[in-house]
Amino acid sequence: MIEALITGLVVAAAAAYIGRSLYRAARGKSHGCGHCGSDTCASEPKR
Amino acid sequence: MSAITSTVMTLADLQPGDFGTVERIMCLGPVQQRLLELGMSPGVDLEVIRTAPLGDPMEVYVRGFHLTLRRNEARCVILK
Amino acid sequence: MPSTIAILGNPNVGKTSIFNALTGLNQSTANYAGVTIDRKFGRVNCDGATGTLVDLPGAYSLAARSPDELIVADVLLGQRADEDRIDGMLIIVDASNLERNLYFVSQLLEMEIPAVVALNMIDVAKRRGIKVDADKLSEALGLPVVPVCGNTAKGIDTLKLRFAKLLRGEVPAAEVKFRYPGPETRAIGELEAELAQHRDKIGRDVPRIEAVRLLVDEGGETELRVTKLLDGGFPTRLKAIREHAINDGVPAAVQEANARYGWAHSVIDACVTRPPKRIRTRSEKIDDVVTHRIWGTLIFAAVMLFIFQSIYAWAVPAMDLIDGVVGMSAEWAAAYLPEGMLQSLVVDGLIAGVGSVVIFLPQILLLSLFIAILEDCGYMARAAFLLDRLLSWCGLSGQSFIPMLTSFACAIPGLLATRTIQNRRDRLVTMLVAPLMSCSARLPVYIIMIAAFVPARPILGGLLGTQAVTLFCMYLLGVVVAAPVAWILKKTLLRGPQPPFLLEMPSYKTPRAATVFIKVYREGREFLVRAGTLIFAVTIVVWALAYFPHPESVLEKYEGLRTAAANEIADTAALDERIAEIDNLEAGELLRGSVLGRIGHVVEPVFRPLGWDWRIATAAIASFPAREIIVATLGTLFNLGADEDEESPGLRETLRNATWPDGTPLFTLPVALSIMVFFALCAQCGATLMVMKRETKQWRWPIIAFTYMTTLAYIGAFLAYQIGTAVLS
Repeated sequence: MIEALITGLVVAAAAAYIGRSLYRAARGKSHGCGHCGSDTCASEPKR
Repeated sequence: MSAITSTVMTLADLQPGDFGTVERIMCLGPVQQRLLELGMSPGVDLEVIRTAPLGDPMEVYVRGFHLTLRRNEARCVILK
Repeated sequence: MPSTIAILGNPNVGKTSIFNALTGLNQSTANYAGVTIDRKFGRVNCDGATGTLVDLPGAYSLAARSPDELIVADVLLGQRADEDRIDGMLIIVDASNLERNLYFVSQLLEMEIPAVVALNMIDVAKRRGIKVDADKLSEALGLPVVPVCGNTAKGIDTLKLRFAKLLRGEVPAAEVKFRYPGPETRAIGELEAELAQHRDKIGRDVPRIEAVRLLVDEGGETELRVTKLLDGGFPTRLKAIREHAINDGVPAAVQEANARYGWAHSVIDACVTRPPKRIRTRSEKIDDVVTHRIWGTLIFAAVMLFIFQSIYAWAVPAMDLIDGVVGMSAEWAAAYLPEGMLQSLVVDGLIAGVGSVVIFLPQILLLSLFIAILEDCGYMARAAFLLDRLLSWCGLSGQSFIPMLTSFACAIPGLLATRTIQNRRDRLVTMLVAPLMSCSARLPVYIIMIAAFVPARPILGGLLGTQAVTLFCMYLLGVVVAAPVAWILKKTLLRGPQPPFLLEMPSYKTPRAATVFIKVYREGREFLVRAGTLIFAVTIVVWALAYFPHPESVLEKYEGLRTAAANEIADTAALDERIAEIDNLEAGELLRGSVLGRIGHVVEPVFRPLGWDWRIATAAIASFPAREIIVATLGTLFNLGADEDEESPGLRETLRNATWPDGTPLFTLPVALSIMVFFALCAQCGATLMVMKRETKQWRWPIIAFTYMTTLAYIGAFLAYQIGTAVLS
């Protein structure tokens, strides 16, 4: 029973996290500058 | 058209190793201004260093630095 | 009151190293509102004086032809509401190339605010036989000049002392050094009067410097911005005023260049001694080979092949190590957790899922290491030079090269890098094809498929392997597909003339360890963060969908079978074999009966022509938000369906052992190729599509990108499987 409860909570938390990520992306809040770690987007565009 | 191209010498006509002096920039608008800012102003001397493996673009030594440009833009640079 | 100082200069003059030297680690980054140029600033504390140093984008001129180029002038003129007023400038100039640098300096002097000049790269100049007299330069500019060498930190201490004075406001303001010719000066006056009449419509005073840009930069960004605010008659009046500025048939833009370069020349004459004949630099000698018709092309191909080969050869020990740790933790978890739901979540979900992604860290680090080194040493400009012609064939310019190349790391900085492309149509074409470049997130998919299903055979006497060549071909595929796509886009949706391509070829420099390390570190950290957050979460959800409902009836049925087998078979070895078989069948039936299994079976027919079973199809669908999810999903799905007694063999073996219900192997070479081709071409990255929407401000473009890429991916995968099967049979 406790096992099922823990599993349920973990899965619900994960689903909530994905939902939040998708929502934020759709709102344009996290566009992922630095998403890939490359600092090309974090510095002036190179010519 | 052919009469003009035969009498006017442009940067695009130069071969690697050739020297030239800029007379004026023929194109208007952003291309002209960009070329001018990068030092291709009237009276400046330049040297063609090389062309890329496929013949275009070309590399030019002007005012102490190396600039690469396409033949398309090089045709705007009229030489003396 | 603390001062705000802007750091300015041409591109490639070593602005970043001086910025780093002055601010140390006290740096932060943010975005300017409305544009995606990064606003980098740092706190400085020099000789007891404190302030903020703002890094402005490198520019050749204040003339702006895109919203991003307007940032420099706007920040300096205090035209951005979100910015502090700039109290002073730290101008960086390249001693080896002073003349062109002075063009921009002459525009900056007109700001008439305090400034200090750092004369950088004195070592490079020295090697070229160029000597700059700093005192005379200081006299000519009317500003303090400090010779420095940003790479070796020589002269930085003196610069800090000068900079402290700038912070304390003890440096005099810069002065305008020359006047425009008569007609232009009059025209500027006329324009200022005209603009003053429309003050209420513009909503602010237009500074003289902005008026000059409005007059000179025909079709420039300043003109677009002002014209938008004013009535329809303004363009005609502007045209008339521009006519007045023409002097002796010479338009304002040419006059400006003549005047500024004339001044620069006089300064150079006063303070620079140059060798009578140009000394050929080390850079030029290197370029004789590196950009040579034949050698240059061969070197480029060799560099690319070397990178792919070393990703394979060098990463193996580190990958084996991670693999070992993942396997051990799975065994440990299986031993310590009681059998059941929670054990399955941890072993089949988390460890099998996230573990199979984390294992690619060594490859990601190696790839970003090579890209960082090539970027830092100046090879990228050479690559653009070599390849420009190819880009021009599909209607793009070398300007598109950097965004495309950046997209090999990740399409998002690639899309942001397209901001330097002034022509809107070219920018859109570049944005639409950039996601076709194989980003680092595709690497895990390629690696696992190639490692498991492409036989390793030496090519060219062991110099290369079939596996590295296959990987290289996958990377090539994106490029090969991008060319006709760009060509078609340029001929249809986004028709337009060929854009100009003007690129400075910077001198080579030795890559700096710190710069390279920071880039590699960021890339690695980001990869792990994603594995630990989004991929982690998706893995859990996929596990849950693939585990439930887990009905008692099925468990009881197989328990019955096991008991029956134990009663019937006496031989221990035969019994073990029979039990393993039953376990396998049980796992299979449970997975097929799960929520995900049922969804999978509905979509399976769609993907059957690609050679995929429902598990591959589901994994591919689950990875539409972010493509590296597929590896984690495959790990979870195939682990759940696998015999649990097997000694944890890693994803590669699990996939090799996977079968269709009739027992034939699921993964064959054509299936592996079909999966790789699908992932190479598909737009499986939510973040990229979102950035595309934000950058173009229209839903249209991400929708077009998604549609065409998914269609191409399906067709490509179909062809790969069908042709592959036909060839092999």
